[in-house]
Amino acid sequence: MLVHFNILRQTTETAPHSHTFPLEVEPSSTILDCLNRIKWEQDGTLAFRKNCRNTICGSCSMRINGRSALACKENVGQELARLQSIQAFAPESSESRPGTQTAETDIPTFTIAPMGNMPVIKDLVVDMQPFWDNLDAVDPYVSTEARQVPEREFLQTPEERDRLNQTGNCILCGACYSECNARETNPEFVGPHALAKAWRMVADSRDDRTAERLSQYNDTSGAWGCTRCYYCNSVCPMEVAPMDQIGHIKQAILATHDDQASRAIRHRKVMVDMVKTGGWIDERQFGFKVVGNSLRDIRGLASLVPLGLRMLARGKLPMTFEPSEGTREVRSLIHAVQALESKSPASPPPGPPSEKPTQSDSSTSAESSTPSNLSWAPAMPSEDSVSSSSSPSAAPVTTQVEPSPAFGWTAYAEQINGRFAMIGFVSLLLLELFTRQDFFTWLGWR
Amino acid sequence: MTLKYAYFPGCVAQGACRELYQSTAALTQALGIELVELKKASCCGSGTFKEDSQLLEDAVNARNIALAESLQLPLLTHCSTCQGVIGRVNDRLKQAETQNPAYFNQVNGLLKQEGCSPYRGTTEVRHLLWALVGDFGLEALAERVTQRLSGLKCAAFYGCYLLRAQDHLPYDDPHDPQSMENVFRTVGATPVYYRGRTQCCGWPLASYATEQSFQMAGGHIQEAIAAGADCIVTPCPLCHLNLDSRQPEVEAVVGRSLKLPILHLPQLVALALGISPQQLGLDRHVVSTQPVLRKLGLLTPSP
Repeated sequence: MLVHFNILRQTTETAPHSHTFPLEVEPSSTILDCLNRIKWEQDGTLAFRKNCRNTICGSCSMRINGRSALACKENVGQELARLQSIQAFAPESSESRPGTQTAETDIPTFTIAPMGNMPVIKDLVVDMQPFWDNLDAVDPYVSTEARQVPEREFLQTPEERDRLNQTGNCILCGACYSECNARETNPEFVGPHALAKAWRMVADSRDDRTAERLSQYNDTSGAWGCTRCYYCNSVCPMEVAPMDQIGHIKQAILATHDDQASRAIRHRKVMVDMVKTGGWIDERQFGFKVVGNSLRDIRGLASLVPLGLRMLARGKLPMTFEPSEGTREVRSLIHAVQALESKSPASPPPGPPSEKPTQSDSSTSAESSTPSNLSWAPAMPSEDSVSSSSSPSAAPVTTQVEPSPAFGWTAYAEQINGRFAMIGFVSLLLLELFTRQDFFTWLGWR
Repeated sequence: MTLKYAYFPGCVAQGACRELYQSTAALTQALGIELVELKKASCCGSGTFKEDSQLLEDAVNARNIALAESLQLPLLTHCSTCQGVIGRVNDRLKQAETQNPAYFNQVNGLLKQEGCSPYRGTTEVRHLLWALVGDFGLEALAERVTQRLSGLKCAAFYGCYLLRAQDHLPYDDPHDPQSMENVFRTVGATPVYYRGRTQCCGWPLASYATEQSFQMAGGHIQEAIAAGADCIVTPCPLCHLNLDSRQPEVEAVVGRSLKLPILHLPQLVALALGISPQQLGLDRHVVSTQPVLRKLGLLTPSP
C-alpha cells in the first residue's frame, strides 16, 4: 500500500520544514524499515539514528504520529489502525490541524518528527548530551564504597534482584525525556529516565548510599520536579513506568521526613491530614497550611494574598466548608492503612512483584541524619496520625507535645506574637481593599 | 431510558470552583440525567496519596467506588484528575481480583474492618465528558441544542489524568484525543487545535515550584491564543484553577497580557442548551467570560 511519510527536516542552521516521501509498504514493515528505504531509494541525505532493529539499543526513538516511540518497534499496520481509529472518531477533524493523519487524497500520511526537549542536529537526530548529563547527575552506579566490606562478591536473593527488573529494562532511548512536560519549563529537572535509574539504585540491596541519594533527589531538580503528566509512562516502549518509580522515591522521602522539611512534602502530608479531618479538602485552609506553613512562612503567606483577594472579589473563595458525611469512616480507614504500613513493609501491588525493597542489611553508613537503613514504613508515627486521634476506631497513635506557653522571650511567645502580627497585617490589607482608603485615612488622621 | 449516575463531586467543585458544581447540576437536569450525589465520598487524593502509599490510594478510592456500587450505579465525575485516579484504582483492583487476590482481599479486609461497604469491581468510573459522548450520545445532544455557539472558537484542555492515567480509554487516543472537539462541533462551536491541549497545566507544581508551573500554563494559553481561540474549555477543575484563577500571576511570569477566558465543559454545553450564564456561574471566573458571551450575543446589558 502507498503511505506518505511526512518527515520534519532541519539542520542546526535551517528552519524546520516538512518533506513528504511516498512509499509502497507492507503492513508488517516497521517504521525503521520504511525510513531505511527512503534513505536508500529516495534521499540519501535523510538523517536518523538506528542500530539493533530489535528494541534493544534504544537508538531510533523519534516522534511517530505525535508521540515518541521506537521506529523499530512500531509498524505500518499498527500505525494505520491507530490513525483510522482516531479518524473514525473525528471525521471532521482534518480542518486546521497540525500534522493531519489522512490527506485529502485518502493516502495515509504518517508524520515523523525528531524527539522533543533536545536540540536537533539534523533531521531526526537530536543532541542527547543533556540527557546523558542528567543521567550522570543522579550517580547511576551502585556505590563502590560498599566494596570495602570483606566479602568478595555481592550476593542478592532472587527477590532482591527481581525488584530491579522493571527499572532495569530501561534502554535509555529518550522517549520519556522527549515528552516530559516538566523538562519544558524546568531546566534543572533531571528527567524521568534519570529518576527511574535513581530509584533502581535506591532499590538495589547492594548500594549503601540510600540516605545520601534520597537527600540528593529530594528537591525540584529531582523527584519533586515531576509534574505527574503521565507522559513518560505512556510512551515508554519498555514499560519502565518512570513516573511510578519517581513515586517510589517520593514514598521513601515522605516516610522519613516531617511536614517542615519542604513545601512539597508538606503539600502531601496536609492533603492526607485534611481528608482525615473533613473527607474533602478545605481549600480555605489548604494554601494557609501548605504555602503559609500555618503562619510560619510569612513570605509564602504574603504570596497568597493577591490570589485570596482575587478569589474573594470574584466570589470564588469558599466561605463555608461542608465535611463529607463519611469523614469518620474515611479517617478510620486511613488510620488503619497507616497502622498497617507502620507495622510491615508496604503491601505488594497487583501484577508484577513489588518494586519496594525490604530493609537492606548491607548498609553500613551511619553518618547521615536520614536513616540510611531505610524501612518502607515511617519509623516514627507520621504527622498525619497525630491530629485526628479522636476517631472511634483509630489505630494507636502518639500525641504530639505542643510547646508550652511561658513568659518572656520564648520561642512559643515569639511564634504566637508573629501569628497575631500577621493576622493584623492581613486584616489591614483587607480593610484597605474594601474601604478603598488607606489605613490612616480610615482612622481619620488625614 | 433515563441515565442515572452516582455523582462524585470532588473537592474543587465544592470549593473554589463552585460554578462547576452549579453547571453540572444545570446541564444534567436539562438533559434529564439523574445524579445521586455521594454524600459520604471523600477526596481521591488527586494523585498524591499514591506518593504516600499505593495502599492508601487504593483503599480510600475502593471505598469511593464501593459507595457507587452499593447504589448499583456507575460513578460520575466532572474532574479529569478524579477520573484518572479513581478510574485507575478501579482498573487495578479489578485486575488484582484475579491476578493478585491477596492484595484484593487486603483492601477489602481494611474496608470491612472499618465498617465500609466492600469493593466488588462491578461498576465503572465515567467522566462527564465520556457520559456525554458515549452514554447520552452526541446525536442526542445535538437534538437538545437550542442556541448553537456558532463562530465561537474553542481550544480544549483535557488534563493529564483523563488521558494517560488509565491504560485504556473508552473513546480517545491518549496522544490525539477528539472527544472534546467533537462536543464543540455538536454545540456549533469551532474547535481549534494546538500542541498544549493534551499537556500538563502545571497545577501539581503550583504550590512549591510556582514559576515553572505558571510557565507551563502560560505556554499553553499563548499557544491557544495564537491558534485563534476565543476561550479554553476544560473538563478538569484543577486545570481551571491554574489556567483561570492564577492567570494574572501567569501573565506576570510570561510577561504579557493574556485575558483568555477558561470555561468548564458543562458551562459550554449548557450555554448551547439555552441555560443562562448566571445560572452557570460564568460571572464567577477570575478572567472575565464577557468576551465569550459577547461573541455569542448572550451579554445582557447591566441594569
